[in-house]
Amino acid sequence: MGTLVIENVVAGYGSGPNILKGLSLTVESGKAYCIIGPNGAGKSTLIKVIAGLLKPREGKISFKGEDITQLRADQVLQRGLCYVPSDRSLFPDMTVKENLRMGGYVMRDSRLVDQRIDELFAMFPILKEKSSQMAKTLSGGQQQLASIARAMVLKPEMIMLDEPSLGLSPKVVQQIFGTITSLRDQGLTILLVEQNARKGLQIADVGVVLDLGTNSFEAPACDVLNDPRIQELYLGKRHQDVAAEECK
Amino acid sequence: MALLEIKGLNKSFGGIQAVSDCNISVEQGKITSLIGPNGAGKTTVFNLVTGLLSPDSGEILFEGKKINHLQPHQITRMGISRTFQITRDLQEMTVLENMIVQSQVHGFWDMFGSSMLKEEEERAMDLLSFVGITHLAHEKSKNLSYGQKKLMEFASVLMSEPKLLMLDEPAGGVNPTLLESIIDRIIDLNKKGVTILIVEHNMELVMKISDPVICMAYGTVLAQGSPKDIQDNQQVLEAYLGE
Repeated sequence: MGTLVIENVVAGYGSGPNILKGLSLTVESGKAYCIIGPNGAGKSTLIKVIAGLLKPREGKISFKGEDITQLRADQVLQRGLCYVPSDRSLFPDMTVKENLRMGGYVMRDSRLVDQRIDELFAMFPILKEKSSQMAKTLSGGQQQLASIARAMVLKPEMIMLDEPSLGLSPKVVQQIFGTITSLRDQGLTILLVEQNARKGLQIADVGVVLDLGTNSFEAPACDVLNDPRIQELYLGKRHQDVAAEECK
Repeated sequence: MALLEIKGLNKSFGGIQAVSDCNISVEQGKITSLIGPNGAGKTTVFNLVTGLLSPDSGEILFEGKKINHLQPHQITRMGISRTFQITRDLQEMTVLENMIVQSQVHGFWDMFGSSMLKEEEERAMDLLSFVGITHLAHEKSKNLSYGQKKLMEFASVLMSEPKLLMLDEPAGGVNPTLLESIIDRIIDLNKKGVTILIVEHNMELVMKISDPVICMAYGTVLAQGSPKDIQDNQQVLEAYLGE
């Protein structure tokens, strides 16, 4: 049974063309999905539609059996679906702790928010260390962690991450992917969009190829990594020799 | 011969020393990569070279001439072009218009003249076709995705014909297959005599096409050498590469 069911979604911006052209995808609870595809395929648009930031023109999205297609972003959050945008969007002049509090903005019980923040500080000690520093003084990797932690304040069931490795050094990328893996191991459902496609697929259960606004291929991540056609079209064909041994 | 030479460069923001006694030499005709942890000062070096920031002290020489206190447009006119990590596009203009304003011969003000020149438009369309976004030529740039903006910016810096091309994270957010054709294009440009300086976290790109590789940390150069030297350098492994 799917936790999140996307059916024939059509979406675009303003009066512009359709970016998503009838996309359907079922996301099963507790698994990690990695969405790959060319620039402009509609990967980020898909996440925005699920998060309630962009209303689809057609189609239906349901989460745990409930139709969430027409819900506002804050209502989607309250149902346990969180979003970590690619630009991190921290409030630069607020402290790390204040940024995390903003993550709990839709929660009514402020004591519960503080309790969640303490739990997250235990999970991400570096954020505790920097808790009273302005977000803009953090390094890129620390900002990404803070952005993930902010989404985690609501104790979501599912977290959507849009290119979490963007602009980060190799060592920090390893740490971020390690963090994502540990979230999955805690039972969270993960929907990951990555251009660092091979790394993303290596930590995922399911690989989804999105092209021309539709779901063109879906398979266990390991099979996607090793499919010669996918390698040529989306993973960079010159690397086919290295993919085989790197599966999860 | 060094096309670009940075000597004893310093820059601080408030109490933070972003660039500290930094010495970098970019040799004519080579592809040089600048790597290092987030916050090492790589982008600040780019901003200092292109005149967006002025240094607290130190010298920046291009073709032997001091360019420290020149304005960004003067530096561009001398033959230095760059891209940005976070793209800076003219949001309300179309992709094609964004390309044409980069053209050195005619430039921004001729946009208000009769029309863009046919050959400029052809060149722009050729470059857009190379990065695979011809279909977006008449779209306002604000409607592009992050990756598409990166591609537009990469195409647009090729409109002028720079002597030194500085690329700030060209691989970030770009699909791996397309990245390979961008790599080919960078190599092509280099063969035509364009000197290239790249800031990048994608080690496949860095190790494949550049020599030398310079690793910065804490605002200064930590190590410099061939890709192999850098990959084996213990300090670089600890500070940056991991594993």
